[in-house]
Amino acid sequence: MGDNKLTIELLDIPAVADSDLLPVYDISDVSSERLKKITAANLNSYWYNSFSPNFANAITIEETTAQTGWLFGNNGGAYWLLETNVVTSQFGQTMNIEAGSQFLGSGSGHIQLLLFLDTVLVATSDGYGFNNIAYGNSTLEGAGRIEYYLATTQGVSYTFELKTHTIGVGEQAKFSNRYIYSTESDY
Amino acid sequence: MADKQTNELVTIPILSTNDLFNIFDITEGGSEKIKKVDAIDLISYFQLPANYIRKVTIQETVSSYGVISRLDGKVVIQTSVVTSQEGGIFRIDAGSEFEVTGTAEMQLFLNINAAQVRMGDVVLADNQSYGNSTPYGADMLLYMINTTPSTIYTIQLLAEVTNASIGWTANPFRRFIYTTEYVY
Repeated sequence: MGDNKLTIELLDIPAVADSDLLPVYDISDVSSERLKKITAANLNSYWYNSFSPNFANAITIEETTAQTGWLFGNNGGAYWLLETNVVTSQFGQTMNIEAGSQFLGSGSGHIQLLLFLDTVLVATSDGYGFNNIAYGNSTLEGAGRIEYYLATTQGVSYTFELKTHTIGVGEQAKFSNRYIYSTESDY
Repeated sequence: MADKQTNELVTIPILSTNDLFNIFDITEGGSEKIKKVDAIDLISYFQLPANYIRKVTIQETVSSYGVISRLDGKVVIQTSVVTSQEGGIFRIDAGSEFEVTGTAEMQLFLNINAAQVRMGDVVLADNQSYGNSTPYGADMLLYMINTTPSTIYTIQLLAEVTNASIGWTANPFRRFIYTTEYVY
């Protein structure tokens, strides 16, 4: 009888559907029914909670690098729309919104960023100055940021709008690298 | 006498990504049904519904950089070279504190592979006028980018001093670049 050869091959691990039942050994159950079945979805939750409290994240990136045309100051009291991001909550937990823009000013004025949620103003930035004639500040470029947190409902869509206005009669600004990032964590 | 049975919740230990787990391979007909996989592979086995944090890279220098003047233009004050593990999304947070002389102002910029992707506001740290009595300032930049597996990204934080007088300077310190990769 010849030598028995033992060949071990790595197998492709099959994909598991959320509804698939997997066997688990319940060590907290001292009865004879320790071997139980759990759905893959529930087992996923087990692993998330084991490794990190903020394990799963749903991230959306909405970013436009191109520059707008000149937006004039005192826009009749209205705001200019810079960026829009429509996000659907996956987990119904907390969503972190981070939005911002770079700007190029003309004259001596300020810009201000505003964040709207479903047409309602929810956050306003500081005023960022641009100045080409005075105070020793020779740059016309700058950037601003807004951060906002929202308690979400799973499956609900939220529309975030980044808007701006320039402050100062006759002043104007162009906007580029405008972004809205949303991060929702499952914890 | 009947024994009392008490069921207790078992504390789940914190797992390392290097921990090995036994799996029972039901497709294997021989005697080698038990195999081992590490924690990362085991996680990959289960279909994840969304992104998760894969790796965080910290590049931070507490000491001061040195004096920068307006004539120096944009100066690289911190560099971090990060390789994407599996592709996903990089979240890059970078920033610096700085100390100035006179009425110097500083502005931060973020480059990815030598291309500018972000700039900060012009941060005032005026110690002489306009009612701002502190010579210190700080700013942070945020950028997110879709990544390609195994691709190397060179992330650079730059600073430029702006002010009317050439003589005034800025000195950045506590410079940092944090990179977090989220994987689908």
